[in-house]
Amino acid sequence: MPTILSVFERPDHVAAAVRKLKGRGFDDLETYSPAPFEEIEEAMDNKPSLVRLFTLVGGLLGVLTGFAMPIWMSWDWPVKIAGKPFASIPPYVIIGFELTILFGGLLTLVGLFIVGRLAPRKLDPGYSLRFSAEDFGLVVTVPDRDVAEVDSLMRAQSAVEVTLVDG
Amino acid sequence: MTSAAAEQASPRSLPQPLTAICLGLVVVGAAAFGYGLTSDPQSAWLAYHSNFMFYATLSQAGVILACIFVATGAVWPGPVRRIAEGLGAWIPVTLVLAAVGYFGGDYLFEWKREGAVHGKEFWLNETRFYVMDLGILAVMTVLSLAFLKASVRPTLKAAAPAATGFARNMIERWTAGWRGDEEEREASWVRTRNLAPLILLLYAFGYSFLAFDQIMSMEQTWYSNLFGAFIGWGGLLSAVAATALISVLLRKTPGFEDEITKSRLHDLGKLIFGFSIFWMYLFFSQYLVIWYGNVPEETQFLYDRLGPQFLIEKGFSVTAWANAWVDWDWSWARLSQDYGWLSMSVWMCIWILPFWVLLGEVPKRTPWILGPVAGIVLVGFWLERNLLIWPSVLKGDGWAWLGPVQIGVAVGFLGAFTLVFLLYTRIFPSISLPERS
Amino acid sequence: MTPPPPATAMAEMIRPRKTPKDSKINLDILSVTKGTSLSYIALVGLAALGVTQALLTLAYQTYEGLGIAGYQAPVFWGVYIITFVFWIGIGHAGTLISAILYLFRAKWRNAINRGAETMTIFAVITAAQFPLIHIGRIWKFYFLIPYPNQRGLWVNFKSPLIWDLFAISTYLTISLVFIYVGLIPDIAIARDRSTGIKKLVYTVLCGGWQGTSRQWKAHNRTILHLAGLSTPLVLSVHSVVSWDFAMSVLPGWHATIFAPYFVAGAIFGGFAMVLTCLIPVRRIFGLEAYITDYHFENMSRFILLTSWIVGYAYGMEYFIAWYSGVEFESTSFYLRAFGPYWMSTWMMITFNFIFPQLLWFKKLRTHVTFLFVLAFFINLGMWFERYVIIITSTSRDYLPSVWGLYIPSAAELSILAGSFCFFALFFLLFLKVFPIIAITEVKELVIHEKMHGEAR
Repeated sequence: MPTILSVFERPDHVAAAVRKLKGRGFDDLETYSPAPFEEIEEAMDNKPSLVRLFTLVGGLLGVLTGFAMPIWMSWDWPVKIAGKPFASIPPYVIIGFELTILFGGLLTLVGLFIVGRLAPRKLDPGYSLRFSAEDFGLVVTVPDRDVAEVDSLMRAQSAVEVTLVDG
Repeated sequence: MTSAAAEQASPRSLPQPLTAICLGLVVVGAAAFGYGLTSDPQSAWLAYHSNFMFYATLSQAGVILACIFVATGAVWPGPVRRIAEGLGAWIPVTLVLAAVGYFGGDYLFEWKREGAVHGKEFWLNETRFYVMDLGILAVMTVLSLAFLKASVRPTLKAAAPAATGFARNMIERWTAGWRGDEEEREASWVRTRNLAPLILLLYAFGYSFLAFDQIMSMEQTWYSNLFGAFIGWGGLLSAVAATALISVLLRKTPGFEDEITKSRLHDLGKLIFGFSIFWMYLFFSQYLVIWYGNVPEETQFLYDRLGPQFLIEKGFSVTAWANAWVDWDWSWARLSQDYGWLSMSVWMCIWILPFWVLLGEVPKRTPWILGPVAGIVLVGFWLERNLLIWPSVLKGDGWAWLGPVQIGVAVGFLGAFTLVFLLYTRIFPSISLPERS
Repeated sequence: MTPPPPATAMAEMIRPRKTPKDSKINLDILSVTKGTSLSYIALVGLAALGVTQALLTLAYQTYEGLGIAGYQAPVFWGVYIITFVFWIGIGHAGTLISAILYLFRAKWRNAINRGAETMTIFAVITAAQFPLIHIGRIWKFYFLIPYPNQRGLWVNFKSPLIWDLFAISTYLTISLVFIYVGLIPDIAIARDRSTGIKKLVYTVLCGGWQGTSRQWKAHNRTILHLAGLSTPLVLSVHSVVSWDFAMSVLPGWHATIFAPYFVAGAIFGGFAMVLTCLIPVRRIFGLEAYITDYHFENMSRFILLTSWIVGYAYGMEYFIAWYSGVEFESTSFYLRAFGPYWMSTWMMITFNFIFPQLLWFKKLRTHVTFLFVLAFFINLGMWFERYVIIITSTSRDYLPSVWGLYIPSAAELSILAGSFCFFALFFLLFLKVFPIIAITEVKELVIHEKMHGEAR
């Protein structure tokens, strides 16, 4: 099936084009954008990002580790310090807090790579360096018979350029 | 905003049942206080003092919040700023109440009754104390009123025709020398912008000294250099909570429907959430240093409030916690002794609950969640002021702060504060802002 | 714009593509990384020289012992600890700009956040070396790390120094994650415009970034969460550092206000260091279009605000020390101002509180030369603030019979100078590898502006 690349100059045009295509039932879409724009992300997929789950799990793991580790270690080798209990909560709040942040942050990074499907790999054939300049790209894969329709549709949405992606 | 909406929210008569209730509450409060003075003057004055401090910081911090909006050029608050300013209507009352408090000084301050401990006579004496504190409050009152006047002035001309009686006189006086809408808006912007940093600085320093004098000096030998900032920040958080609560309550009032938007509630929710975290941070900074050092003159203050279990070996250890859950034996915590329950309630209301409830985005945007949480934070601060004040005088009696006289006084203050707020918001337009294009 | 007539056949659609011109923002900012001038090489060489002499001193100190660092009863915390606190503090402005201002949706951070984050990373790395230098027997450093060992001992989790270990390693890690996540789209820009080995490195680092909606969405969320996590983190780090002092019962150290006071001071000093780094960068690489008066104005406001918080803390410390009626406290503070270290104290007050008051004047808030000079004095003042806190308290303990006098030794000053060179060296190298201004964030603003400009 052929893949069509349309180039836009404004994010709202991309968002409108995406909605048009989705309305016509073309769901095999991808956008390239030089900067984040909410309107495009919402038009493409309005579900909340799953990254939040990673942060939550990381934070919980961190707070558990941060309290369990010092508490267990204090009991494993009990030393009386400054008349305080072996395992005393106030100072361990600090350890618990730091590890919450540490684990939460690291798992958020993992989340970004998994949810955003980031991996050092070959770039899409439709992608080019103009999309890391100031142009917006929208690629859609459609059956042969719909190409002309998509072309006119995209031009009507003020695409500045519509081309077929080779390969 | 349409002009129709502005008219609706502009000066009008007080809402009848509410005003009557508030007046009733004031009468109840006065009667309770009067009765308390004859039966147990110490409790009556302690209750008076706790409420005085709560509303003093709350109202002043309302203006501070507005000043912060102005100084940072925040555009999101819209009429929320007017609500925060409305809290400031109580500021002149604070000044009067502080002067009245002189007559209860003997019951509150050991140093006033029996003379200061050795070495502190120069600071803890009547002349210095009342001259300085009343002076601070007087300066704050003048500046806050100047700020409020500068802030509402551009909206007054349009509101004048609808006003009657007292409100009309007031508005006429406040709009003397009118130079035209555009000029007034510009002048208001310049004026508030100039006043805001000054008021902010005076709040930081002035209210720190008020906190040292009015609360810290009740326990003569205790000191903590974070205490002023802690009280000031608490006041600010209570003002944010009050603003959020009032916003939620006013949401359905004609004229406010389109103004108190979900996104504004969301922002207020974020402020409560963040400020509450910072409040906890300040608390922890103070607590940890005192807990760790365990120096007698510092520890006594926490000891009276949190009880011994938070400071010495037996309690606050993981072992004790674990046993408590396994055997359901909380005797070590000694919560029912001293002011344990009160301390725990304060902690729950100001930190635990707002943090966990407002963590997500949805609760911050939902009025029926945000409103109650804000209310609970306010209750928490009212309890906190009690917690800071009562144990300094009545040590060990964990329920002294609760009683018919105490509740009566609290109710009276609540009625009076609400009444003053209603009066202010009915005289001055609460919606339109001197927007600067 | 009128849409071109629809094509009727597929064949018509395949036509030679125009090569679009690159974005001016990309060219401007990436030009910083291109080429090296003679003066740049000279600067790098100078910095490397400074690092080398410090390394030699360190080697000598390791061989000879801490005696050459002037450690002598009663002062065992000297320039190394002061400098450690100083650099940790510097690191705070970066996180403040990138995290807290992000949460407040203050768009003015966009042009300066990368520079500030870079500064944070290298400041924290610089700082992290000092506890090692300070312990003398560097090879025993691993004793701080809690891991199962044949000694059968665990670390003392009630010690503020262990909190420090956790706080600083967390801070360094999260700051690295933060700057890296922010860099990903910018690395992709650099990848598209480079060749050879450079392209390979960039390709691996940016993880096949193409700016798809899925990627941006995950990216936005990640930044938001990291900002949410970093905001309390930044408060905690310098608080923990302050508790290294406040947990003891030494007069002048055991103060409840220390945590917020240190944090405000850190942000204050950090902003000054941002100015110190960015003003020359802006001038040399001609980035005036991106880092504008508006940014300087806002940074100046922050410096003014934090200088008042610091001033407030100075005031309250003195007042409460006097009010407390505790002889040791009040003596300690009296000696700060009028004892042997009076000069440091007055320098700290003048540079950190009095000089910044000039920023009330709008003209001066955007006067770049003035700001650069002011930032220099603030950096100096902040170093002396730590000097005053640490040295006056340790040298004037409870018992006058054990009072002593501390003077920084040549070894300490050599390593102090080396730390500045180390910081400068890595900052300079970073300039040539990664974009010093967050390109995509600036672009976001520019495209927004372009859209609304068209709409009007």
